[in-house]
Amino acid sequence: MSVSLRSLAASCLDVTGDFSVRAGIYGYPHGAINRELRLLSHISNIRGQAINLSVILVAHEPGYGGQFTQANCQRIQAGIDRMREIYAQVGLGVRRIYWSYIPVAQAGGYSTVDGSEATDLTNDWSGDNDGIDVFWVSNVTDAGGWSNSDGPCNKDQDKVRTGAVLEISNSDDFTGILLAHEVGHYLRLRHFTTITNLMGVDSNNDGIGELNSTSTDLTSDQGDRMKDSCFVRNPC
Amino acid sequence: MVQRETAKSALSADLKRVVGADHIVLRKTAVLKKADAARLAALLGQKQSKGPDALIDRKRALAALARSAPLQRDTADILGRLLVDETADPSERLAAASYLGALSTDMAERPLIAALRQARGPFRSRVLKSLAQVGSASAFRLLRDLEPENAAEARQLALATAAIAAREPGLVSPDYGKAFGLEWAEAKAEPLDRKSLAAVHAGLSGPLFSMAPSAKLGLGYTCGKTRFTLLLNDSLDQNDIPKAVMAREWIAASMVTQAGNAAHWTLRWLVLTQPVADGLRMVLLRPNGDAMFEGMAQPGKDGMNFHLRDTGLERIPTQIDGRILRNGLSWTHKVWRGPLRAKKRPLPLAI
Ligand SMILES: [Zn+2]
Repeated sequence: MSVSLRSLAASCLDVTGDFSVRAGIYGYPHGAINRELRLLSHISNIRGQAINLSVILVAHEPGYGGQFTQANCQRIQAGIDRMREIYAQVGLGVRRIYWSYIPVAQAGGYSTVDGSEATDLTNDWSGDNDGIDVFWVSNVTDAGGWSNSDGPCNKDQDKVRTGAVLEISNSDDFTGILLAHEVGHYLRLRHFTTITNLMGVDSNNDGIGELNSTSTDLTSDQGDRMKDSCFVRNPC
Repeated sequence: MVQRETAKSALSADLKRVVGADHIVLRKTAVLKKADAARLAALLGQKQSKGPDALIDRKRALAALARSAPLQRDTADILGRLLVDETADPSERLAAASYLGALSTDMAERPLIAALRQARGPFRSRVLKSLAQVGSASAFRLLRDLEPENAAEARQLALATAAIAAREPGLVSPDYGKAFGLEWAEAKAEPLDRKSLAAVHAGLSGPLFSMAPSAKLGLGYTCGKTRFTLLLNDSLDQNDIPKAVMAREWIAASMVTQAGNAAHWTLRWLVLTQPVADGLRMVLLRPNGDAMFEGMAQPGKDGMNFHLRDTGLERIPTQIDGRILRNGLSWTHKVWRGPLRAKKRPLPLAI
């Protein structure tokens, strides 16, 4: 491993000692990933302005003995990689991935949530770090996922959703688009006017956006707006 | 390949948009037309590919089918089979358990009861929730006798039995206080005789914002290790306290306390009252101005009833109830003894 990679890991990611590039530099600890990883562009993305993600698996157990199989976790990390590709269009990196879980015995009914239970979930639990909380549950019954628009930076705030809540979707690609969309809300983006934009459209104004597999564009205005969020870290 | 093309084209445009695996749909509230629902029921009844060539997104399909009323029987069959299929995807089984709670009792209750016997963890929790939604007398009898596995499950069982009893004639749920852990410790104040009252006056460590306390009227009680005495303003101590208190603003009373084994009494709360359009506004202030309790007194049959709730500055939920009578007062201090939110939120465990 080159010295510069080691110093990057230590200074940007707080990773020291022996580490694999996949787990240590990318933050993908769940085994192989079905996407092409380009190390140089990844490094330049995470060294610029970037956010950190706090991934919280609801009702998980070590050894994949809870609600999440290894394949589920591999889908989430592939989704994160897809999200990185989408955000890279506007020069916003996704630097650190903090993985944590709520054990089955403590997850209660939070494996399956609707919009208001999603708010309760984010109020009851929170990642103890500087990342945007993204909770993964088995099912969201009334939407593909929920997030706040312009989410609060104080994750201890009560009565408002302090993170995004998502269900595992049926492909890596869609998981990435959904994740990027919901975190986009958290970073102050609203629904858009064209379906090819990441933020999709909300044609009937019910607060639930419409997306498809082409919904991946971000405008530079949207990029500027995201970078104004208090969750964006300085270059490292 | 040819076969797959045919299968894909067999979805109507509507159906494809709502459940097609090649679409991302954030909304899960669509209701299908009858023909689409029938097509979807047929598809969900078959074994299907879950790989990249899957035709439909199964979880979205379950949601859409459950919302499409005309095919309840088929829907209940499909969801019921998923419930007991241990080889099925765990998140699909959870979805089946939750969507059964949206169907009618005669179709959903039996499969839910059957599933409950082996259900564990999040799945069990979801089955219980759906039984709370649609259960009838048979679910009630089962749930009433179930030993909860933990505190969270005890709460779910309490909700389920209460909800069922509330909609089924002839069923009675356990006492709500016991079932939901609604427990308050009560301290009821008693009138003090003149001698005890004089002793409190003599032991006051400082002034009461120039309120002269009545020599006749005062109430005392103990809460934990603290002795409380409520001193009524002497100017209000007339034949008709409700009338007097509504005439203008008052420091109507002072609550003084004697902490631990201290010999003297100190001012804890000032009881301020202000007549307003719909009654008497009451505020209990600390000498530093913190509003600790507030509420209204309303005219009742013989006097005024009041209910004061804490403003969140007390460590534990507290309320004060009482009455302002023509020639006296009643005062009950209630402190919550039920479950409390943990001081520190639990943290998820690092992977
Ligand atoms: Zn949206």
